[in-house]
Amino acid sequence: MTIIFLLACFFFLLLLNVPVSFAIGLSTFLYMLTAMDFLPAVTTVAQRMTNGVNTFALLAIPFFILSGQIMAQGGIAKRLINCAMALLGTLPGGLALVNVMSCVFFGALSGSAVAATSAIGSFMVPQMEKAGYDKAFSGAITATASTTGLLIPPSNILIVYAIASGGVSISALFLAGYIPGLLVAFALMLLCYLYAKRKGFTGAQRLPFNVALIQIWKAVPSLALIVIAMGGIVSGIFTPTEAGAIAVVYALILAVGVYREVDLKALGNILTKTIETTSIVLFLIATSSALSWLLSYENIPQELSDVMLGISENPIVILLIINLILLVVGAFMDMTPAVLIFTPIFLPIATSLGVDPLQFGIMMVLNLSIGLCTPPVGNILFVSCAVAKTKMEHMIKPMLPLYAAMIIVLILVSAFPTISTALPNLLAP
Amino acid sequence: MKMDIKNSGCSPLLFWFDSLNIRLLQIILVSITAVVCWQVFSRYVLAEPSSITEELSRFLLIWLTVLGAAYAYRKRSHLGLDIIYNQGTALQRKVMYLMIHMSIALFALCVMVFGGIRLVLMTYELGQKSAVMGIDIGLVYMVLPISGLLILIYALNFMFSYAENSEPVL
Repeated sequence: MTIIFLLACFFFLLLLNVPVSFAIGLSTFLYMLTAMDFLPAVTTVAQRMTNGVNTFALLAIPFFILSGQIMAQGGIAKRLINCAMALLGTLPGGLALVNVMSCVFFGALSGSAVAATSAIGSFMVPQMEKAGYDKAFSGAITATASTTGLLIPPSNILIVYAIASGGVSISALFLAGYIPGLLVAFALMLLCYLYAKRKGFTGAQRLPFNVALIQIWKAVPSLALIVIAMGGIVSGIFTPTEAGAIAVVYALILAVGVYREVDLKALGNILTKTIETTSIVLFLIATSSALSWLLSYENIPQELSDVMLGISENPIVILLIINLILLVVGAFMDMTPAVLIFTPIFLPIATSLGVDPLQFGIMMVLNLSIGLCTPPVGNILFVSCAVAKTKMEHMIKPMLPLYAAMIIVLILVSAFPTISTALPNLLAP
Repeated sequence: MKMDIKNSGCSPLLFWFDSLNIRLLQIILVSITAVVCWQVFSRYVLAEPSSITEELSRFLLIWLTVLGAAYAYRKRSHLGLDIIYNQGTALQRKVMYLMIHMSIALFALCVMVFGGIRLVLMTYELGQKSAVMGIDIGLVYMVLPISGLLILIYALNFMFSYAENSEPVL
C-alpha cells in the first residue's frame, strides 16, 4: 500500500520539473524514511547509488559517447552523405534515400540520435527542399531514420538495458540490434521510394564511376570504426568496454592525424561535452539502481507480475500490453529513464513466459524510439523541427506513415523472436 | 533547460569551483581512457595482463558520475519533464522553480552529504580496503559528500539568483 506513497512522490517531483534522476533518488529516499531511521536510510541510498555505477561494463558508455563526439567534430557527416549519395543517389527519390542512409551511418557511429538528426538534417533538409521535397517530410524522415542508430551498434541505450536487465550480454545485444535496426531503415526507405514515385521525384545524375568510388573510399576510414569495434567484440578479442576505449583512440587518430579537423582546444570542448552527456546518463543509472533495489526489496516486480499474468498467460497478449504501456510512457519520458525504470519491472514477466531477454530489449528500445519522435516529449522531433525550420503541427501529417512503418517493424520484432536472436545465436562470442 | 554558466550571476568563488570541477573531470575521463587502453595493451602486446586496471577504472567511473552530476546540474542539463512548468504563470513558475531547487538541495544534503559522510566513516572504522589495489574504500565514497556539497552550493545560488531576476532562464 505504501508503494502508492513512492509513486505519488515520484510523479509529483517529475511533474514539478525536478530532473528525473533527482526525482528518482529523492522519492526512493523519502519512501525509505517511512520504513527506517534517517541514518540507515541515507546510507543505504548512497551505497546503492555508488554500487549502481561500480560496473566495468558501464565504462563503455563514456567511451562510445567520446568517440562519437570526436567523430562528429571531424566533419564526418559530409563524408557519410557523399558516400550514401554515390551509392543511392541515382534511384528515384535518391535524396530522401541518401538522407535515411546517412542517418543510419551517422547514428551508428555517433550513438546519438539527436546528433544524427541535427548533423545530417541540417545539411540534407535544405538540399531536399531545393529539389522540391516538402520540408516537413524531409524533417520527419530525418527524425525517424536517426532512431535506427539506437538499435545499430555500438549503442549506449543497449548497454543501459543490459545493465538494467542484470546480466544480458552486451555483445549479444549489440548483434541482436542489427537486423531490427536495418529493418526500420529499409521500411523508411521503401516509404521514401513510394513517396518519390508518386510525386515524380527522379534521382540525381549518375556520377562518373571513378568519382563515385572516391566518394565511397573517403567514408571508409570513418565506417571502419564500426568494423573494428564490432569485429573485436564478436571475435572475442576485446570486451565492449575495451572496444569503446579502442574506438576513442581510433577516432582521435583519424580526427587529429588523418582528417586534421580537431585541435587541442576543440578536444577540450569535446571532453566537456562528453562529461556532461555521460554524467546525465550515469547519474540516472546510479539513482535508478537505488530505486530498483528498493522495488525488488519490496517485492514489487513479483506482485506486478502476478497481476499481469492474472490477465493472461499468453506471451503475445502480455507483450502487446507491455508495448502499449511503453508507447504511452515513451511519449512522455525520455528513453534512458524509461529503460532503467521499466526493464526490472517488465523483463521478469516476459522471461517467465519464455520471451528471450535479447528480443525483449530490442523490442523495448524500438518501442521507445517511436516515443522520441512523438509529442509532447520527443527530443528528436523537436530537433528535427528546428533543423527543418517548421512547426510541430506541420510535422505530424508526414510523420503518420513513418510511425506506421516503425510500428509494423515493432509488431514483427515482438511476434518473431528470430529477427532479434538469429545473429547473436550465429555469431555471439 | 540550458543556461550559460557565465550568465548566472556567480561569485568568483563559484567560478573557481566550476573550473576546478571541470578540470578534474577532464583529467578523470582522460585517465579512464588511458587505463582501459593500457589493459588491452598489456594483455596483447606485453602478454602480461595488468591486474589493477579493471578496479581502478571502476573507481574513476564512480568519481566521474558523481562529480559530473554536479557539473551537469550547474549547466542545468539534467533531463526533466517541463510540460507543466512551461504552462505556468510567472508566479506559479517562481514557486515551482524554488521547489525544484529545494528538492535537489534536500537530496544533496541528506543522501549525498550525510549518507556519503556516514559511508566514508563506516568504511574507515571497519578498515575496508579495495580487493586488488588495497586502497581505502572510503576514498571512493568520498566523492559523494564533495559533490553533494557542490550541488548544495549551486542550488542555493540558483535560488538566490532567482530573487534578483524576475524571470529566470530555465
